[in-house]
This record gives sequence, structure tokens and C-alpha cells, in this order.
Amino acid sequence: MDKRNRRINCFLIGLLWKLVPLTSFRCWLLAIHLEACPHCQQELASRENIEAIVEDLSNVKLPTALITRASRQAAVAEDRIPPVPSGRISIILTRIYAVVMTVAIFVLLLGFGWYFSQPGPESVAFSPGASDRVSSYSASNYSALSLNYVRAKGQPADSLMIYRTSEPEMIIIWVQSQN
Amino acid sequence: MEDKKDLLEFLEKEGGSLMSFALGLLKNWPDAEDACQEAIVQLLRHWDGFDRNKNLKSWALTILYHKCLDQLKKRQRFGRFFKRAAENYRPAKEEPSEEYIDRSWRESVFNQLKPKERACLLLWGKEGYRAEEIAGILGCATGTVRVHLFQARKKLKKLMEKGNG
Repeated sequence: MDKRNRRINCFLIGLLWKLVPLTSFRCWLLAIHLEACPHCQQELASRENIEAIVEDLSNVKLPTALITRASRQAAVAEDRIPPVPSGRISIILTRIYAVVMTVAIFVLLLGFGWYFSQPGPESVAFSPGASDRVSSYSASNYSALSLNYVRAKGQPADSLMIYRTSEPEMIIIWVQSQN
Repeated sequence: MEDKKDLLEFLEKEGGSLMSFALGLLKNWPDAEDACQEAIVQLLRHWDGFDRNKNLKSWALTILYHKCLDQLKKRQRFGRFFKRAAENYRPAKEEPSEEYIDRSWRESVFNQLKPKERACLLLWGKEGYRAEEIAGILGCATGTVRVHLFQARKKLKKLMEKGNG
């Protein structure tokens, strides 16, 4: 019974391992079960197995010519590298750069904010109001604005003209109705 | 050069493990040589700033690991064509020897692992490092190394059983 329970436990842990690919969760599974369970440990390759697989790598040696080549390259590279400013100067320069960039980003953001908060010259908000009858009138002189339904003297208007004035915030709406 | 005597002595002594680590990760001799050379250049260049109380081999392996990752990225850029050509190359009209088959099987088993898993396995199985030390070398959390190691060992066992069965 105990063995059976353990098998079920191992199966559930294995299932959770597959279902949740989170490293921290898997780490927890390792700590609570996988590293201690002899059954689960049997399913892992041992150090000896790995050593046998990488046996060929044990005889590998670093070519001596490679060290000589690298030393020569390092010497040449050292000559070419421009003198790096001392630690303190480079820190100050980095801070100055960071401050300048922060200010620039802040100014840009403010500028964008201001620009988008300004109402455009052509934008006119208009709500036609509730109506059960819809008749279509459109302005011929000012195409940015159209009115679907206008009442004059309690009756639907017969004709409608919309005029744009020299004032950007002012338009004139001319409505005609016949009694 | 006198001040770098210790480092050169270390390279003569431990160069083999560095090369085998690079070879295990990159699976290809010229790439491993390039990674080792670049790593040695960096070791020589930064030798003066190295804290002598720290483990020199771990430091060298850390640099080499990053150089190997660079090589892998470079290789990815060349695409699959060259990779396939290199992997499929075998002299024609020659019966593959048993040794060749055995070796290529072992290589193929090991090559099916991800680079990070291979690095963890090599450091754990071949160099005998613990998970904490491997985490220091690879620059990741100990838990991540444990997970990689577990996954790689499990995968390897499965592949080995499949190969034997």
C-alpha cells in the first residue's frame, strides 16, 4: 500500500512538473520530493553515466599554439585600446549623461502632453439631440460639420446652412422653416 | 608577462578542462578553439583586476561559457545549411567502424540536450562542481541550475535506455 502511494505521489509530482514549467515551482517540487525520492532518482543519469558519455573529452588538451596566439592578440589589443577614464571621472560622466537624458525625456513628454491637450482648430463637438424623426441636412459651406435633425419653431427645419466665420471658435447655423 | 606567469601556468595545467568544456558545449573543434582563444585573451587582459582570493578556474569557466554562447549565436546566423553539411560529412565508401558508431551515438545523445543543460551536466558530471558553484559560473540562480540538472539527467537516462534497448 505504501509502495503504491509512493508511486501515485511520484506520478502526480511528474505530472505537475510537466504541467507547470515555472522554475521556482519546479525547484519547490525538487525540494519536497524529487531530490529525496529513491524511485525518482533511479530515473536520472548518474555521474558515472555522464563520465562515460563525455569520455572522449577527458583526453582533450589545449593546443600550446593557442595560448601563444592569444597572448599576442591580448598584447596587440592592449596597445589599441584607448585609455579609459579613471573610475571617478567615468562615474561623473555617466551621471551627467543620465541627468541630461532624463531632462530631455521629461521635456519631450511635457511637450507631447501639451500638444495633444490643445483642441484642434477644426474640431467641433456637436450633439444633435434626441429625435424620433430623422431628416438629413448637410452643410454645403462647412464640410466638417453635419446636422441630422434640426427643429425650428417646434417643426423640423426646411433648410439649413452652416457658415464658418473668421473666428476659429465660431460658426453660424442658418435655419429656415415655413409655417 | 612576468606578472601573468600564474595565469599561464594555470592555462597549461587546466587548459584541457577548459577546452573540453568548450568542446562539449559547441560540439565542434574550430569553434571550441575560437571560444578558448577569445576567453584567454579576456583572461589576460583582465588579469590585473582579478581578485586572487577567488577561484581562478571558476572565473575562467565563466568567461569561457559566455564566449561559447557568443559562438553559438554566431553559428545560428550561418543557418542550417553549413551545420547539416558538417554533420553529415563522412568519407564515402567506408564502412563505419564500431568505434565510430559508438562515439557518434554518445555524441548524438549528448547533443540532444540544450546548451545550458549541457553546461550544467559537464560542470557537475565531469568537473565535479556543486549546484551553487555552477550557478556562480553560469550566472544564474541555484534553483535554475538544479532544475536544468534534473531535466538533463532525466533526458539523458531516457536517451540512454532508448539507445540500449
